Amino acid sequence: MPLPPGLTGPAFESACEELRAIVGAGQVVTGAERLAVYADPYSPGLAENYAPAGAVLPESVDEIRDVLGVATRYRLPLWTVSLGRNYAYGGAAPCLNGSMILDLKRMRKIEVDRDLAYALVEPGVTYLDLYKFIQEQKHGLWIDCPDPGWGSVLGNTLEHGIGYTPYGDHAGHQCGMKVVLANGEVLRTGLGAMTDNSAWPLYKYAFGPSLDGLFMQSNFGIVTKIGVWLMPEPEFFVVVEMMFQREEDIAAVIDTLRRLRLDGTVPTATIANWMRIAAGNSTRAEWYDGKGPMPQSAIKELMAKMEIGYWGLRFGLYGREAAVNEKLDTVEKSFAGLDAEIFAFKFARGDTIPPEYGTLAGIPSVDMMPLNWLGGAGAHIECPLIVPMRGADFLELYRRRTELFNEAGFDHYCGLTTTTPRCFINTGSIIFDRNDQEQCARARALGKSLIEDAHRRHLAGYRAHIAEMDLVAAQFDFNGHAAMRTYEQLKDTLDPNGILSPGKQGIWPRALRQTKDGETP
Amino acid sequence: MKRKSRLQPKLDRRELLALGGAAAAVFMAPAGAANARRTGTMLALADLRYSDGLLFARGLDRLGVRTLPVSNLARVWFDFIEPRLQGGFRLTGLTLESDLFVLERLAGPTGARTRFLGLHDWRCRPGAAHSLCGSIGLAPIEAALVGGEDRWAEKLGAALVASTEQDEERRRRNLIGDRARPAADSPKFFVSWLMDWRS
Repeated sequence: MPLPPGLTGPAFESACEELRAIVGAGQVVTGAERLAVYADPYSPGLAENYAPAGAVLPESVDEIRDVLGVATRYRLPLWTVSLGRNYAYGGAAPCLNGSMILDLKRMRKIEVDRDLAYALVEPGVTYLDLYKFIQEQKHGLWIDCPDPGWGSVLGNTLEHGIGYTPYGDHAGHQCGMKVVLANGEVLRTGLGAMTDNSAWPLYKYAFGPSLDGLFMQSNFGIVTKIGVWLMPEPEFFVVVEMMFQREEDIAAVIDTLRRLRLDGTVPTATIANWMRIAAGNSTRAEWYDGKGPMPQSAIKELMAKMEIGYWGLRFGLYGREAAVNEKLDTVEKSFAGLDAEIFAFKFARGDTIPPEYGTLAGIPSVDMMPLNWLGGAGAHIECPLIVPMRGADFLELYRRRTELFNEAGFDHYCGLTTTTPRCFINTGSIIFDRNDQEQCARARALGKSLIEDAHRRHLAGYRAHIAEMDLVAAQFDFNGHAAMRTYEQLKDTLDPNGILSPGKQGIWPRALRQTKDGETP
Repeated sequence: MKRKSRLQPKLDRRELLALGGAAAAVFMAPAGAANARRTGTMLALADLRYSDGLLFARGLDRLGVRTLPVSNLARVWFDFIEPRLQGGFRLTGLTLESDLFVLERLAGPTGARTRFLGLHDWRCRPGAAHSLCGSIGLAPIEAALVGGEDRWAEKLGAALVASTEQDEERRRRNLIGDRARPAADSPKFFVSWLMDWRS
């Protein structure tokens, strides 16, 4: 395995010995075989460039502080992961080759307040854990989970993850945060800054600046606890599904949906193109066995046989029965001018929710059917964008991205999720066989093309794979990259030794920072 | 506006098969007495949307091994598999690759070892390519595939139940040919696998 930059083998071993004294011998991991679990499982042929030197697994804030003391003395870079299930963006693998993984999976405490509908969770708590905890306690609360839901609640929230209920904007429903800084200082954000203030998971702001955002998608501190708001189980719940037959229908669909999002009729909603629908239910070889992207004739045949549209729109409506029915009526009238097929599934409180609608009710799943689209060892990388909800603009973007996918030999998998009422997160999974080097190379090249094409349209990346974080970060170029200069000032102040997650989101510590000429200062 | 269909199509391939009744029977079947000793600590998973998955389940059913469908894998794992985990437990399957990917990550922290992995590939080719790797006896599996014809999945299931542990050294075999024929509804790429938990 690689050594941390600047450390000799004996020095690294000495650091590991000190870490073992803190967390216990079994909680410091070295050696290729045991470190394999920290490799990026979907790496498009780049795993050797993003390998850890080892891993350390503290169980408490006190142990984290002691680990930070050792890391500071040895200048040992720590790449923090909650569970490392951030697959498609690098998993647990570090940006900086030879980093030590700071694995927080042993921190698994859950507290739930039923009356005020929130949970406090540590990094090792998965959505499955939180769901089971709440179900067993019969709290009458729903969580919101991403799909799949086996990752960390805290980790997903810090990465601005999304789900499918009205609480689908996870960062927006986070409240209260406990953070360990690089110097070992422990702080709580918001009202948590006041000793014994029980409202810290209830009100997002503070007397003064709000710090929480600084610790999301960043490397300024180690977050060890967050509050997340939970949704009271609704009295009534309807799953609405619609299908639209033509590619160009998407413009009117988005414009209609935008109005319903803005006036509060529809909460979080998801749009899927034909491939996303098909890949969730079947494999490509069942429809077409040729190489290259599926031709239009095969797509049309697939749509006819599966009885699906080119586009599908899905969302839930939640609340009291009369209110939900009124919203459903509004939805039907709003889409009446479009040639839509609509289906509504109604559930009262206590009804069993079928698995295919589980995420709309905050029930975590671990199924990953779309990865089987091409067969082989399915993997995907993502280059998602934040896209304004303007129909005509999106149609143009969609057609260009379809060209790019097809030119690279892939079918275009497209999803749009609106967890906030004015924008979509546009995912476009590049699905490939991770054991096929030629496909890996094409997937890497396509990812870069998608990111560069988005920048030409002045559209921003929402998240990025570790291999593309610098590229995306460099695109935030207003006023000569003023935002990045500010991030770097913060980094130098909060983490002057540069030990926390170097390179995360393109933010490098001073010692590893590249000048514009490509030289380190 | 038409109210007609649904976004998540219900492609119930069992309706297309003469095996329709077998799926429910397989899912509910208690372990047969004759094989209870061998199979009592064994469960199987299969993708019962596909004919080959149903055949695999049928091969196991004859030997008294219960097969669970892989849909809703979280429930399958936490409600059916995890409570049964103990030394000597074995789990086998014929699934799509993503299901094995998930299962290995759920099972890894519980002490599971993947003792066998078979890749069965009919994509973009007239015949089949089978890649077998494992630390169990591969000869019965190879025989099931070579002589399996259109019942390859059924014979493969039986071979996996009968498989015997060998040393920890992993052996590999690659087979190419057209003796194992996929069903008409095949996804054209399956993985078969066997995990066990140390006694």
